Amino acid sequence: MRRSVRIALAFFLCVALVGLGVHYAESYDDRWPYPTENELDDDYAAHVGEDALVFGQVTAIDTAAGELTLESETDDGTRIELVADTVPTDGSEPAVEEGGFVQVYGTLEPDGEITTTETVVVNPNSGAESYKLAVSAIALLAGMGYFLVHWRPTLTGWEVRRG
Amino acid sequence: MAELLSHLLVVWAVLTVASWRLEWLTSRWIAVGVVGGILPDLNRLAIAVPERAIADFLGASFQVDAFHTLGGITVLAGIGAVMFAQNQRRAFGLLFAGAFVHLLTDAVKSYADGQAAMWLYPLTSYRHPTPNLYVSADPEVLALTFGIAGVVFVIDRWQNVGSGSTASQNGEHDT
Repeated sequence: MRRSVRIALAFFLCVALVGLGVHYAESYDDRWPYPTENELDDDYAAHVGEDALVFGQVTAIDTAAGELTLESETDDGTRIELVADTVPTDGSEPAVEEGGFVQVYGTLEPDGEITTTETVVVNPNSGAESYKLAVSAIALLAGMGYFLVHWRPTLTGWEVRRG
Repeated sequence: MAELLSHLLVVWAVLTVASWRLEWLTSRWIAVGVVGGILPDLNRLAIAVPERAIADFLGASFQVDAFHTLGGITVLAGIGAVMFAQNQRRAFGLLFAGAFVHLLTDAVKSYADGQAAMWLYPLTSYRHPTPNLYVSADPEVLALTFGIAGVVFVIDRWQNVGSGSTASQNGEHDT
């Protein structure tokens, strides 16, 4: 493939990638089967009684009351607070700490409360996210290192590294 | 998503097993597939460049999570492929294959409502049922993928010794 064709293709594909990201964002609220954080922030009351799947960082745990408070974020950075009526447990202890991250599926009740059907603990504590990022950074370096063992950059593009 | 290391180990293992049948699939092309395994996680760019900053620049909403979909990896693999001096089609195929294995691995992780992410976008917004096999912070996932990759590595070495050939390592059959 000629270099000019490759450059034109790369430009076209970069534009397509930006377009994809824009369409994904603009159509997300319509495609997601539950009320999104944006919609809950706009008019929570309109969605009371509906099922929802919310993702958020745990900000408080009240084991006595059996309540899990989480914060979700809208696209513009607004944080909305929701209170789920179930604290996930691991044995007799809460399975998540403040700073952890959870998914809560349940029914929206007035005043930001959720009658929980199921909770998934994504990050049991704030350290879990650091663990994932650290391991991922190692993977990125290892993956690129493995690639560079076999390929070298040239002005015409990636070429096989000989010898 | 699982952490990236598990994804890359799975991609490497799958492509190495495939190389036992496909003579042209040499280690240099497996390395391209491994880089493909990184592509869906480019949505992590949002850590460095906030989506709101991109949206303000574009004047429209923008989500990098689009990269973590079938459409996203197709376009990203295309961009990656045209950066190769030769064999762009093969490069596209390997980049796409690595990214697709990554998405398949994510398709079985846990969701509270039992349905996977909308990773088939833009073909469909369908969320298929997921067996809820893992969450991304499980250290057991990394241990398991290390185990699988280790077994594949040992068999791969044994095959090369058994056949008396190091062709797949040296890329002698590469075209």
